[in-house]
Amino acid sequence: MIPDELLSKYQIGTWNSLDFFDRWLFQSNFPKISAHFISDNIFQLEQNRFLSADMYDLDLYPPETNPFNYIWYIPITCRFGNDSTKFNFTQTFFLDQQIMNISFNNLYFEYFYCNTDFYGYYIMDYTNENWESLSEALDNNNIDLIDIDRSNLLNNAFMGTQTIEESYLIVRGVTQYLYRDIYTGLLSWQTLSYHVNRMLDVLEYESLYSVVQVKEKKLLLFKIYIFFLNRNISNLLLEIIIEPMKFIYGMIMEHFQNSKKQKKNHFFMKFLF
Amino acid sequence: MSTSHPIIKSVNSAGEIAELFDSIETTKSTAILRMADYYMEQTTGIPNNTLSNIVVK
Repeated sequence: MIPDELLSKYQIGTWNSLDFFDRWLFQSNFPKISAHFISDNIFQLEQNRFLSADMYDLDLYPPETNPFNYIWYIPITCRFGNDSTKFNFTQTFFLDQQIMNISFNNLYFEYFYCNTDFYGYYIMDYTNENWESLSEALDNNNIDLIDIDRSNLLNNAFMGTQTIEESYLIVRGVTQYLYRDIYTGLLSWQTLSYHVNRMLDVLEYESLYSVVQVKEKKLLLFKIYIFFLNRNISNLLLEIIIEPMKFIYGMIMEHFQNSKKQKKNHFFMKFLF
Repeated sequence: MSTSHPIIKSVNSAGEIAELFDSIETTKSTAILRMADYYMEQTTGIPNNTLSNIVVK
């Protein structure tokens, strides 16, 4: 442990780092931050405890048992822009209350991305419009969205599907760029493989109860790729398997886009099984 | 949810100490240190004036 006397000499924004760490070390779970413009120039950040849909009934740490009522000290850097190929304004906020409104005066932005470089230990909750703009930015190879930001958005989208608010349509949006030729990064594929693997584990378990009909070939093919992506393999090998992976993921996306209505939480089930 | 717990938690027996050391203690702590490290450096403007140094020392 780092002694309190030492820790208290450090600052994070306007906070003493002792206060900062108390909120992160003594509270369970982590925050979800909703971000949106409530008017043309007022940007709002709101923090809440991240809870997946099945956690509401099984809460081991209800708010009254928590020392800070699930309010964290959250440093958060966001990038704002009007053009999908780049961002043109960056600002760091220090959120230490549930809701914070920030005036942008005469600045106006179409969309934004928060938690740059994936430095924050929290999940973002964007509006559907902002997710659409972010998907477009990813697709247009926005120069300010580097590999780790792309992984962050992908992870964020998958985590969002575990809540009751967001659907797999967002996942579809932020993964479209993966099978574009222009994109050559590998990190996002590893993030994708992590989440798909988790989903496949759940679906396999469900199949025991005949909830889904498993079409073995597609499942096997996909699982082989996922297996490789989850291993610490060389970049060369990873580059070799990326092309077929792009192809199969492209097929998945096409199938998904052709389906008129998708039931939430059954995204991969529809076309893989 | 059964595996969820704060990073710092009181224990009542030696056995509970071992139980406490799971991925939350390691991966979550590391992620929080990374976040703190980055924003401390942003605040002070001094590179390497960071928690990593304190922990290593």
